[in-house]
Amino acid sequence: MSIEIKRVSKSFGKTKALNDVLLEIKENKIYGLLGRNGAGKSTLLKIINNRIYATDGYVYIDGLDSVENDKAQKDVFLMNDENTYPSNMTVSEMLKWTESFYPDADADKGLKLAEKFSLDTKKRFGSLSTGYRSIAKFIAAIASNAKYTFLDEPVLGLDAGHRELVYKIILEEYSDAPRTFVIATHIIEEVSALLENVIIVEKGKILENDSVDNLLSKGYCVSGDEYTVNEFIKDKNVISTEKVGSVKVAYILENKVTGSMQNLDVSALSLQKLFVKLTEERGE
Amino acid sequence: MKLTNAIKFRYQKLLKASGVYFALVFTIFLVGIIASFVYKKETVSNFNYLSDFSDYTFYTTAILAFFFGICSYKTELKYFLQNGVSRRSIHLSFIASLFVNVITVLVNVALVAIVKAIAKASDKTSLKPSSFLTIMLVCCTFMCIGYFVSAFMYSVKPLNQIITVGVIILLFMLFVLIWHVKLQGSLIVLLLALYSFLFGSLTGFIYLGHLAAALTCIIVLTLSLSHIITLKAAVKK
Repeated sequence: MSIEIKRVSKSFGKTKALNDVLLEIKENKIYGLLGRNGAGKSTLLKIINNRIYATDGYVYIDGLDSVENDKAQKDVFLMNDENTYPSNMTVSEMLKWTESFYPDADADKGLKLAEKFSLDTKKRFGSLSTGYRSIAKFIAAIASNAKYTFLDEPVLGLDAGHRELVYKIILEEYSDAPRTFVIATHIIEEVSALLENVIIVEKGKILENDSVDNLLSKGYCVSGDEYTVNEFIKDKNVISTEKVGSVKVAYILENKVTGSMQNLDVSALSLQKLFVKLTEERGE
Repeated sequence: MKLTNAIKFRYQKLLKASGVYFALVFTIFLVGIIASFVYKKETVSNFNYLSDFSDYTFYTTAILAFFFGICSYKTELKYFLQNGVSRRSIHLSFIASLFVNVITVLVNVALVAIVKAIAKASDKTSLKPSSFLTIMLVCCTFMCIGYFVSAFMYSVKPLNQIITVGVIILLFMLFVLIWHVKLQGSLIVLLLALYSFLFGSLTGFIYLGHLAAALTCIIVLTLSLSHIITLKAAVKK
C-alpha cells in the first residue's frame, strides 16, 4: 500500500512547477519533503490531496485514482497555510467535523492535544493568532488519523517551545499507531531527527529520494587544526568550511577515506549542509 | 460518507440562518399585533394590513434563498476540499441543500396561515398548494442564481468577469431588440419552448405552468454552469 505518483507534471501558465515526477510514498514512514522556495513541494502536496489538478500524470492512493475520488481522499489529509477553515468555526467544531469527514478520526484526541498547546477550543478559528491557527490545523491533522498525513510547514509562526511540542507529538503518534507523515519544511535541522526518508525537490524534479542514513553516508565532516584540515581537504569534494577560533571544520561530499585522518575528528554530515550543497550544485 | 457529511454541514448552516430569519419575522409580526392592540385599540378583524404584509414575506424568503446561494460557495468549497470532499460531491451537496427551501417555505406558509387566521382574512390565495409549489420553485431558482453568481465571482479572473458581464449585457440587449422587433411575444413562451425541448415528453405528462417551466430552465442552466465552474475550482489564498 502506498501513494504512487506517476509522471506528474504541473504547469501554471508558462511556469513548469512539476516536471515528470515519479515517486512512491510508502505507508508507515516519516518523510521529509525538502526543497528551495518555488521547488514544487507545495504543488506536489496539493495535487496528491486533490486541491489542484495535475497537467499530466496520475496519482494513485492505495491503488485508487486520487482525482475527484472521495474514497481515495479519506486516507489523506493536508495541513498547509491555506485559509480553508470557516472563520466563525470554533476549534471544537473543527475537530467534531474532522471526525465526521474522516472515518478514523478522533476528536477527543484533538481536544487533549489542544490542552497541551493551551489552545482554547471554544475560540473561533478567525480570532486565533497566526501561530495558533497553525496549531489548530496541526491538531486537526493529527486527530484525523489519516493514513497519509501531509504537513506543509507545520511550525509556521510557532515559538520554539511549541515547535518542540509539534515534533514530540509527531513522534508519539508514529510510535503509538504508525502512519505516514510527510513533512515539508525549510527548518531542516530541527526536523532531521524525526525523518526516516528524505525527498528533495529541485525545480520541479525529484533530486533525491532516499533514507536519511543513505543520504548522510554520502559525506562526512572533519574538524581539527587549520593546517591539518587544509592538508586533508586538498583533493576532496568540499561542500563548505567553517572556522571557530583555531578549529577548522570541513564538510566533505564523498565516501569516507580511512587511514589518513589522524589528528582529525570525523563526524556525520548534517542534513541541512547536504541539502544546501545538493540543491546548489544542480541549480547551476 | 463525505457527501452525507457535506450535506449535513450545509443544512446545519442554512437551518441556523433560517431560524434567525423566521425569529425576526415572527417578532415583527408579534410587535405589529401588540402595537395594533395598544395604539389602535381595534378588533382583530381590522388586521387586514397584517394579512397583506404577510404575503410579502414570501418575497423576503426568496431573497433569503438568494443569499443562501451566495453564501454557499466559497467557504464550503475551501472547507470541503480541506476535508477531502471531491468537487462532484460538493456540487451534489449543494443540490441536496436546495430542499431547505421546502422547509423555509413551509414555515413561511404556516406563519402566513396563522396571521391570516388572526386577521380573519378572506384572501388565502398564497396558501394554495399551487402557490406553495411556485414559491418553492422561485426560492430554489434564486438560490441557484446566488450560487452561480458566487461561483462565477470566485473562480473567474476579474478581467474575465468584466468581459463576461459585458458580453451578457450585450447579448441581453440584442435579445431584447430581436424580441421586440421579430418575436413580439412572451418571454415565457420562449422559455416554455426551451423547456419542451429540454424535457421533451415529460411536458405531456406533467403540467407545471409557464412560470414553473421557466424557473426550472433557469435552475438547470445555473446548476450546470456552476458545476462546470466548480470542477475547475481551486483554493485561493
